[in-house]
Amino acid sequence: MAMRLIRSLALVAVFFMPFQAFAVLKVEITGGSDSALPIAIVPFGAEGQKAPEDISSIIRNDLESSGRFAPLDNQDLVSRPTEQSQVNFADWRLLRSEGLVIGKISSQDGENYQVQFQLFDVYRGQQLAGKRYQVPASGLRALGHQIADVIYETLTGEKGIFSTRLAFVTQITAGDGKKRFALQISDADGANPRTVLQSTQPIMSPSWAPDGDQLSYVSFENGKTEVFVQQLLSGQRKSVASFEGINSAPAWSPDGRKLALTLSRNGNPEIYVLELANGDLIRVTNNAQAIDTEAVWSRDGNDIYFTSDRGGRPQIYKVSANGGRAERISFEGNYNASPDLSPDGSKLAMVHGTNGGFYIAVQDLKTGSMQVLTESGRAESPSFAPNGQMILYATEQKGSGVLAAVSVDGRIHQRLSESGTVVREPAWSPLKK
Amino acid sequence: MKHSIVQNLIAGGASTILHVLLVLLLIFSFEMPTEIRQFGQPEVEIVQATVIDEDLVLEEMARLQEAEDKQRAAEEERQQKLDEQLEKSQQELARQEQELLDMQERAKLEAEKRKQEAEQEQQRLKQEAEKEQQRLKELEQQRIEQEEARKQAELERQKAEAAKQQAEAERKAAEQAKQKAEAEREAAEKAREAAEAKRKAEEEAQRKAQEEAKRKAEEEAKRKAEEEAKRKEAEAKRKAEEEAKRKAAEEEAKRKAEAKRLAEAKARAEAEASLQRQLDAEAKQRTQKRIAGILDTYGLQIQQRITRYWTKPANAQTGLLVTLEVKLIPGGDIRSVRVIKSSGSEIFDRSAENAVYKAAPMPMPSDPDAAQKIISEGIEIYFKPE
Amino acid sequence: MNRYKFSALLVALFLLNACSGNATKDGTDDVLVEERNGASTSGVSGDGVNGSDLGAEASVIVGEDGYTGSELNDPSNPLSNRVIYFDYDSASVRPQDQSIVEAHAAYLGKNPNLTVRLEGHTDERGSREYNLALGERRALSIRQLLMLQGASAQQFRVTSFGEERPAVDGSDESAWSQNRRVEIIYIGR
Repeated sequence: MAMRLIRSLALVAVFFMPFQAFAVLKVEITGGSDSALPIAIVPFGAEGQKAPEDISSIIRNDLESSGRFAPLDNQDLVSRPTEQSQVNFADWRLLRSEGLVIGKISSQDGENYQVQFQLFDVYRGQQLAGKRYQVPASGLRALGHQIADVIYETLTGEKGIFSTRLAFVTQITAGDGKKRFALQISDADGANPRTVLQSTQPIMSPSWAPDGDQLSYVSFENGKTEVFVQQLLSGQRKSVASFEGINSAPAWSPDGRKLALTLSRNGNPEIYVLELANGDLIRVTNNAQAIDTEAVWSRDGNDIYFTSDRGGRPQIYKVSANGGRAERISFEGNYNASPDLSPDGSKLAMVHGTNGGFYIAVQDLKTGSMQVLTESGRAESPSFAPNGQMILYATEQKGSGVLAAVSVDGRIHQRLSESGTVVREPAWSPLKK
Repeated sequence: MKHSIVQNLIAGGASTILHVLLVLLLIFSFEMPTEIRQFGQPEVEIVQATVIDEDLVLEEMARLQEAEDKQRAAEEERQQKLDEQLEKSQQELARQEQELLDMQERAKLEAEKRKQEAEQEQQRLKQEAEKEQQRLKELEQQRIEQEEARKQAELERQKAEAAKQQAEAERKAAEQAKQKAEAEREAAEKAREAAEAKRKAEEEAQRKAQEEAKRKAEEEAKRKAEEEAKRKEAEAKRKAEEEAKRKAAEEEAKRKAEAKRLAEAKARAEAEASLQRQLDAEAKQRTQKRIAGILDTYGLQIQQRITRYWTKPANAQTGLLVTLEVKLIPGGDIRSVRVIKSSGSEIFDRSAENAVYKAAPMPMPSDPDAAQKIISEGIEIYFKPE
Repeated sequence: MNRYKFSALLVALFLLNACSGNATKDGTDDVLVEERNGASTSGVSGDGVNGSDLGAEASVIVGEDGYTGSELNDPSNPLSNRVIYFDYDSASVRPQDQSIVEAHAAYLGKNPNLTVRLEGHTDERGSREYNLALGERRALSIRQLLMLQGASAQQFRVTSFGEERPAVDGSDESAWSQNRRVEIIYIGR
């Protein structure tokens, strides 16, 4: 009896063994490549009048500049479909392209253009996005950025920022040796720059109003610092702070009604809040021995982050917008300045000085941990992209100021301008509403 | 020439018939003008006939006249006869009329008579019914009376019976006394007979004893003979049984030996089978081990390949996990990719699926068992950002 | 990684030069606002593109030129030395420059009708806004010394340019050391 039991148990064991040994093969993939997503952007088909802008090139450049996409070279495109019926997905799979963008542009009169595009998931052969537009010739470039935004958001799940704008200050040295300064605005890709202010005197610290329709900045045009607010469409501008001493570092409150400023009207640079509607001023900081400057509003508008050397060296502090006791935020190293808050309010970008160099760093406000994102030691003026994924900053290349951007995780680096013209103090516009 | 005569005769006959028909036709034509069209067809033939035999018509007419005269005479005769017959019938009719009158008279009388008879019958039936009523009454009276009589008779019969039983009892007592006397007489007789019987019995006993002795001697002899026979028979039987037993034992031994042999063979076979099983199991285990080893290596290969092709979304949050089931075809190309468990992020899931598609064709192990296993069971692939 | 040709930018800057020649005159604070009609742009059907997206922001031109010199330009006179230099991230006057400050203090004390503008500057390193404040701190540091040694408060205008107007272009210590300074500028009697 016992023998039989043992034998049957043995049999059971033998019976079950294969299942144990023959489990389905399981593979775990972690990490993956941080490389850009391969995408095919086929030059748009054209009918009728020739378009003044190459929309597919604009889309290609936008997506590529984000560092998140790797568009195929045009000469690698296996075919050039302009509508869905001409698409053979198998071809595009061979190229290992995950996305495919095709489109058409047509115009009868060269004034108004019909543009359509479609984005496909190559491996499933499905359309992921598709739209048709009607634009004037002057709107084609903007439309290209808009389409790039749609593609970017569809494939990454984040807002595209290609229709946003950059503000920055340029400086050139004229033939007479005198310097000329300009406040400029460009598309998010740095293209299409247009001057909104030019001066023989320095211009500083452009700051976007939350509505994206106004800029505030510091101008030396009257021989000293002065804060202006300028309507971008009309060019109408107004001096809002022209006190004795320093008038600088404007920062719009989230509701757009107030401007935080650095004023030294009482002998020492302090943070003030200016009510734009009536000019009322509230003094926020009060530390006669220290420099308090570079205010940034918290997302709820209740607090202000700022730079202060009240501890001996510049660091980031936080104080209630109504004043009161300031709390130190940055602790790493002995030089942290120029804070900018991420759109979601979770991170603070700053200039981190160490060993004689200045780097863009980002500090997680929850954990307090700081990560240095740039390698060159000449970075300044960090500004978050409105989707929080990139940080725009100014740096130097061959003795000239240039703009660059880095992803918040430090993996993607890009250069937005070439040396030649000094470009500095970039500020990324908010998303358009 | 004869022929022509015959022909003429035939023609004349035919002509006569035709003429009769013509006359009849004319008569009918006047009398039944509406039916002319019905004869339209024969009219044509008649015209032709006329054309053929024109000369014969006059001759034929004379002959017809003659026939007609004859016919008229016959007719007159027939008419006369008819008149006579008519008179006769009229007389007959008068007679019949008289008869009818007579019959009517008779019928009247008859009806009257039947009426009287019916009335009589009615009377008779009434009387009969009354009679029946009377008879039933009488019968009932009779039945009551009879019942009375029957009850009276029964009473009398019971009385007679009691008297009869009394008489019987008396008769039985007399009988018993007579029987007693008879019994005493019989007892005496029996005693005498008993003595006689005893004597006879003794004699008989003696005779019987002698006979018995003789019979016994005979029986003894017979018994002995029987016993001897029996003994001999038993001996034979015993011997036969012993033989049978011996034979059975031999057979049993033989059977046992065979069984033993079979058992041994079976045991051997089982042992061999067991060994084979063990060997098989070991072989299987070795195969499994070999496949498992190959799969381990293969898993790493696949992992590296897919990892290389995976463009992880830059914003992938830690903690995302998508599980895919990937089926391959023998060449290593993708048969299907299915999301078994989504990460919750469409974009993360898609990046994982795309990684698999882009990594295709997958390498396949050269070992056919391992390759078969991969093809039949598929691969489960987990994607995590970190 | 991705390089943008700023040809359009250069064209704009070229135009800027051409304009600024007319717009600015020595010694004046002229401001020229150049308006472009933002309303001329029309929208994109479906998803609108507003005027500013089409690059229709208006352009404004402003400017100021330097200042007039004083008669104190004798190279043998310590007063001809009107720039005080500083160490990195410091607002303290170095010992070797003390005599220059003293000379200006004495001169201003003797000429109470003279006014000076103290322009604080920094080198290019670090935060521009912080440097703006640091430049002011340097200028105020000089003013304090001058006032301690005879000048009066009414004789000063204090301005900081931070790192915006370096004396010397360049990104080395030689340039930086010349840019960390306070300029004493006599602006009138």
